[in-house]
Amino acid sequence: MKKLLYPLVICTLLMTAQAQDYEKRPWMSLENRIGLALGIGTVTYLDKNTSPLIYRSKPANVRLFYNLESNTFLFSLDVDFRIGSNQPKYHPNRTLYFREEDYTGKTEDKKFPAGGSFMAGRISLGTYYKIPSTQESTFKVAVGGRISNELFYPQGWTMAGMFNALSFSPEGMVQHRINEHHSLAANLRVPVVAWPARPSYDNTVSAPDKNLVSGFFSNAEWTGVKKFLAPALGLRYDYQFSQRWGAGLQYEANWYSIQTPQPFRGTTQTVLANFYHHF
Amino acid sequence: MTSTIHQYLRTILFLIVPCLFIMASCEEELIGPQAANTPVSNFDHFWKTFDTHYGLFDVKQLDWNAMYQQFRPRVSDQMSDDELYTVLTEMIVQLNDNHVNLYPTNGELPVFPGGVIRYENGTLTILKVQEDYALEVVKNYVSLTQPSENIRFGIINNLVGYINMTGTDSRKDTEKAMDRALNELKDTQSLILDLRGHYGGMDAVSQYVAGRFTSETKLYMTSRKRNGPEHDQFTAVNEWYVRPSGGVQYTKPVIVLTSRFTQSAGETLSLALRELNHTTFMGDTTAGSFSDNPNFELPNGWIFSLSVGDYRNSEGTSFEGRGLPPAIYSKTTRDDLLAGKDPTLERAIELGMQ
Repeated sequence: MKKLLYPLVICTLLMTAQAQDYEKRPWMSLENRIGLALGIGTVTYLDKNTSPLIYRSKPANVRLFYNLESNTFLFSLDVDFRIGSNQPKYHPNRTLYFREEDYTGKTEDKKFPAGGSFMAGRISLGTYYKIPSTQESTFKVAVGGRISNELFYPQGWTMAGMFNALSFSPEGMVQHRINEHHSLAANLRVPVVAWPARPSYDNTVSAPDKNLVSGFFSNAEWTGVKKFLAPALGLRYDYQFSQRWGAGLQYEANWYSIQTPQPFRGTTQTVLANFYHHF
Repeated sequence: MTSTIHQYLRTILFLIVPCLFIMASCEEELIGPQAANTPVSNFDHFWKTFDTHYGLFDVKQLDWNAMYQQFRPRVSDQMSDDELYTVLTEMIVQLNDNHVNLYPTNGELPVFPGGVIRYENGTLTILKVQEDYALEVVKNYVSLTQPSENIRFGIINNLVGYINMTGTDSRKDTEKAMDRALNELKDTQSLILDLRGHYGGMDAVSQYVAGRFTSETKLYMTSRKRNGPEHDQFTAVNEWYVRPSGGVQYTKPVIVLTSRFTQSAGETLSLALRELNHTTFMGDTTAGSFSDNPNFELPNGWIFSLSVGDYRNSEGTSFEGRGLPPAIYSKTTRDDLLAGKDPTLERAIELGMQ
C-alpha cells in the first residue's frame, strides 16, 4: 500500500503546481463530490476483557465518499474499509510449537507464527447546517451530526479488540479556502449516544438457537459517553486542479474508551490521499 | 512551480506531522500501560484470570486459593520460561479439564493440552494420543463420501447407514451435508453416528445436527457462564432444546459411537442425542469437557484457554471432568488399529444389522 500511496501523493503535488493556469472557478462553489481515498495508518488498543497485551496493526485503508452541498446544508456519506496484520506490540514474533503423535507412534513437530489479522469497517452519514457568512469570507463553518456504524474485527487467538458500535455524534467542521485551488478543513466529533456490541465478560458468543453473529449482538446495549467515548479529529487539505477534478490529503485520529464489559482503549491514526470528481 | 510545491508541502507537514507525533507520543497515556512481563506477574495474571473466569470451581470442588498458596511460593522473577511452564502446567492439571490448554509462544516449549487424565501403571498421566479410533481404519469397513469438511457418510452392507463427524462446520455447510447424507441414508434400517473423533466446534450447530434425529422437542442441556469476578457470579441459565430441524429426520435406531476424545460440541451433541429414545451409545466415556473455552493471554505473550461455563444435562447433572458413559462399553485398542481392525465399529454394525 505504501508503494501505491507515495506515487499518488507525488502526482497530487505535481498536479498542484501544474494546474495554476486552469480556468478559475466560482469562489466558494458548492462541494458536490464523489471520490476515493487510499491510505495507511495505525490501530493500537488494549482490551482488558481478554488480554493484558497492547495490540498494534498497520492497516491499509480504502474509503469511498460522497458529498452533497446546498446553500444551507451539507451532506456526506463515507464508507471505510481497513485491513492489515495484527500483533501484540511488544511480542510481534510469537511462535507456537505443537508436538503431535498418532496411534502408530509417529510424532510430528509443528511450529508456526501466532499471527492475526485486523479488519475494520465504517459507514457513516452526516448532515450539517452551514452557518451563514459574508460573501467575502474565506471560512465556511458547519455544525451537525453524524450517524456511524463502526466495526473492529481482529482475528487471531483471542477476541481482543472486537466491537461494533452504532453511534450518533454531534460534529463541527470549518473550512478555510486559501485561494481558488487550495483549501484546508478540520472537523471534530464526539459520539453522545451509542449502541456498542462487545464480546461478553466470558469472551464467548455461543447461545442456543443463535449463530455467532446474533450471539455477539445480543450483548449490545444503548449507552452514553460514560461507557462509550470515541472523539475523532480530522484535518484535510484539498486541491482542486480543474473544474471537475481534485485531490487532497487528510489525517484522522480517533480515541476509543469503551467500558463494557471490561475496559477497552484504543487509538487509530490514518493518513489518506483522496481523489474526487466535482459535479 | 517549485515554490508552490514547497508552500503546500509545508502546509501539509505543519498540520499532519505534529498530529502524528503527538498521537504517537501520547499513545500509551491514551490506552494505558501494558502489565509488567515478569514470571511473578505472569503467574499472578494466570491464576487471577482463572479465579475471575473459570466456571467449574463448584463442580470440580477445587479450592483455587489453596492452589495459589501451593504454587505461588515456587515462582520467582529469576526463574526461566521452562520453570514457569512447569509450575503453570502442574497447577492446571489439578483442574482435570480437557478444555484448559497452555500455548507458550517462545517457539521452544510445546503446547500443553489439558487432556483427559488417565491412571496408568500406578501414575496419573494425560491422554494425549488417540489410540482407540482412526478414520483410516474406519475406511476398511465403509466407503465414505465427504459432503463437508467434517462430515462423511456411507452405507454398510446396504442396510446400515454410517455418518462420521470430526467437528462442526458452518451451519450452512452442515445443513447441506446433513441433507445429502440423510437423503441417501433414509432407507437404511439403522444408522451409526460415529463421534469418536469429534473434537468440538459450535454448540448451536450440534443442536441443529441433533434436530435431524428427532421428531419431538426436548430439553437436553442448560448452560450458564461466568459474568463477574466472584466464583458464584453467573449469567442467567440458558436452556437448550433439541427439536426437529431440516427436511428429513432420521428416527430409526441410531447407534452413537463415542470415545475419550469425543469432546466439547461433540459432547453437547451427545447430550442431546441421549434424550432420544431411539439412540444407543456405544464405545468409551467421553472427554468430559462441555463448556466453551475462550483464549486469554499473559503479559509474556503466552496464550491459554479455560472453561467459562457450567453446562449440565436436562436433570441438572454436570459431567464435566467425568464424561458421558456409554450404554455399551467397547474399546478399540492401539493393537487393533495397527492390525487395521475396529472391534467397536464391528459391534455397532452387528447391532445395526439386527
